Amino acid sequence: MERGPLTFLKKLLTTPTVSGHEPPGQRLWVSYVRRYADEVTTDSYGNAVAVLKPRAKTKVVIDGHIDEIGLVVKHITDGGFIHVQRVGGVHPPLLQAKRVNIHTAKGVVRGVVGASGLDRKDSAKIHEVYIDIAAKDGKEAKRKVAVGDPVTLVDDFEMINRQVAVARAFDDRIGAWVAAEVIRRLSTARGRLRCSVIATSSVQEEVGMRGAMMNAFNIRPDAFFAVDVTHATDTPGVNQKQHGKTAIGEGPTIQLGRENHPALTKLLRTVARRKKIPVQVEAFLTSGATNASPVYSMVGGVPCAVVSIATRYIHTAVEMIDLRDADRTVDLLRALCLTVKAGQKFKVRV
Amino acid sequence: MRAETFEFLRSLLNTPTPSGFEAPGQRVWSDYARTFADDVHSDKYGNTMAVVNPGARPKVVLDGHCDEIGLMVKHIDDKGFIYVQPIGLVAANRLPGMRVHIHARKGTVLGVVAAMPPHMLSQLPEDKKKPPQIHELAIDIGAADGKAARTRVAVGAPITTVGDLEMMTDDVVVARGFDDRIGAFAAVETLRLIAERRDELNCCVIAHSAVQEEVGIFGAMMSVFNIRPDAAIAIETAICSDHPGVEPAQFGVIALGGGPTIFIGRENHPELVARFRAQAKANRIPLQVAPHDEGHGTNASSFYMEVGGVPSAIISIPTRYIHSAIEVSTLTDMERTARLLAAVCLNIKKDETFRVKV
Repeated sequence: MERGPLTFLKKLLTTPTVSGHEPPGQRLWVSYVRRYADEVTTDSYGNAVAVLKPRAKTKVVIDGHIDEIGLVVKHITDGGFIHVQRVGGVHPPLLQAKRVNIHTAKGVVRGVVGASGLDRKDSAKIHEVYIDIAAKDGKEAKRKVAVGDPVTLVDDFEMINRQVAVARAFDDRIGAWVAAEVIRRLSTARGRLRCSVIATSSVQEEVGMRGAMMNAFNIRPDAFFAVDVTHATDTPGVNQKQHGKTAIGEGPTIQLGRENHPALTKLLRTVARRKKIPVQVEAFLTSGATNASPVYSMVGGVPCAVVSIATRYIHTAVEMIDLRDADRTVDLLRALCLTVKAGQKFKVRV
Repeated sequence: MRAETFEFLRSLLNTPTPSGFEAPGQRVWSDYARTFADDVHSDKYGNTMAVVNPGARPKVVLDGHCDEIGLMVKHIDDKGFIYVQPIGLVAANRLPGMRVHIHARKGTVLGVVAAMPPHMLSQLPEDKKKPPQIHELAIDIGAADGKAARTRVAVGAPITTVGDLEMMTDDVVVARGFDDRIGAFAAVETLRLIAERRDELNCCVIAHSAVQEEVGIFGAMMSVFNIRPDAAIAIETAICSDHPGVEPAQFGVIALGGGPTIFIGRENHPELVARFRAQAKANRIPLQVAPHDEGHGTNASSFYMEVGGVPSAIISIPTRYIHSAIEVSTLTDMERTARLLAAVCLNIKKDETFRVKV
């Protein structure tokens, strides 16, 4: 990965963007794409949209969601301990014995999720999890932290080897990064572009794909690519017969069926073959959803496709991807945009 | 049933249309509709519409969904066995021992869902005797190994059970996926009856063959936005409860061959329901009545909540054993449904609206 984009990715991954609290990440994203896009706007809930060739007839959206799962302060006890509720699909037992950052109005308060041999539980429920900020009582804790403050795990970006990186919440800041990079890498080929390319860094995917629904209504795309993470199944203990076969480092994945429009999946495969970009194919998701899930049946039908980066350990503090897959995803979508003809529409042939 | 109509029905049912892969069925439907409709067209995801009297108001949609449940290839192992995920609500325990068709890019591949011989089954430990879950099913296509299997079949290929239409009596028929190809059938058959009497018609009628109902009523959601109907009728299969093992106290009574079924409450607009009841009485068509479904919903759920609220109703054709390879229904009730719908549409007045009276 080139140095500039890598620096941008690192910044994005070390910035807290819990669903509903995305502005710090969106500011980074907006200032990055502003150098390359013709137009950059944000909407009422903080979705960010960057456009190349805004007046072209066919509107191709490349979407990644900037929000990450996390926690939010629910209650502060008289003893000064903090109870939380989940934002998105957090698995409570994995929170135990982790360091956390509480993002308060006055700045970051560091805490730990208490768990000793005396109270640790393999099946901990979220209300049994508590954060210790070493406050001597509730009064002191309430001076530092307030109900509603978002909380993230501390675990930041690290390279494990030359290609493979680990971080909390590649899901889906890597998708937002891909969308921005498509704009950057297309900006030099603007003269050859026949469609409008619209990168969206959407909010609130982890709490129900809400940001993308707003974008779909406002933009009315002709094609919508949801760039997200997909489970890599190349680790011990995962049953490939149940979950299919996907691996990190083997290229973006393309999904078939349901929301994945056949004309778009065909185009993705054709472009990948022509550009010699390896891709993996999987069946549509039966557990979980992406921004394509609500968007495809909105506003009369929006042709959608999910393009994913295989990720190990999704929704944990040690999400792992191969950065080459992220780069290849950008290359694939960039090349695809350049093949879209003026005024092209996508339709199932009956 | 008219010979041409029956041939169309047979052809529609024998064409595989798992959700997301409906185009072959939509072609059969369009070809039939084109012989009498003023306009036939389809949208981005393949929803297909046939219109009589375009431009008139109210716009009445008669909807059936063309998609059926199915399976999709998820994984091919090194021994050449194929593992699957469901498309829609599939009962995994009914699949072992079934023949299946895998719709591969190069053509149809016949497979069988592996089934443990009873001799071995009886000797298994108790915990292995449980009914299988979907990911535990393996499809055998007779491949020597994974490599051989992968030359014929790829991840993402849709699968249907083998179950073409057959007559059990001169009225009772069996096939896979009546749900809801007979709804799509009845929609367009109604349109044909209306087209024959178009002089009497004062509204616009749109027969709609929807995609992707079984994976979440999505096709209808697209069309309601595009069409903006003044009324929408979802034609569905009614789940019969007149076979052994079903308690009337829990499921009520809907009988095979007992006449089209209407539902009361929720999405079923009282004004439309009242018309069905009055029209059935006038035309001496037996009508079964049931409370609204508590479960998954039909395309009427998509229609009634969208674009400010579309008066909707469900009319269903009694069918036994739905979501299996041996769905059983009757030609008489398919025809009665079309006749009733046609009569209701022909009695709609110019510019009439459907409102709950407050």
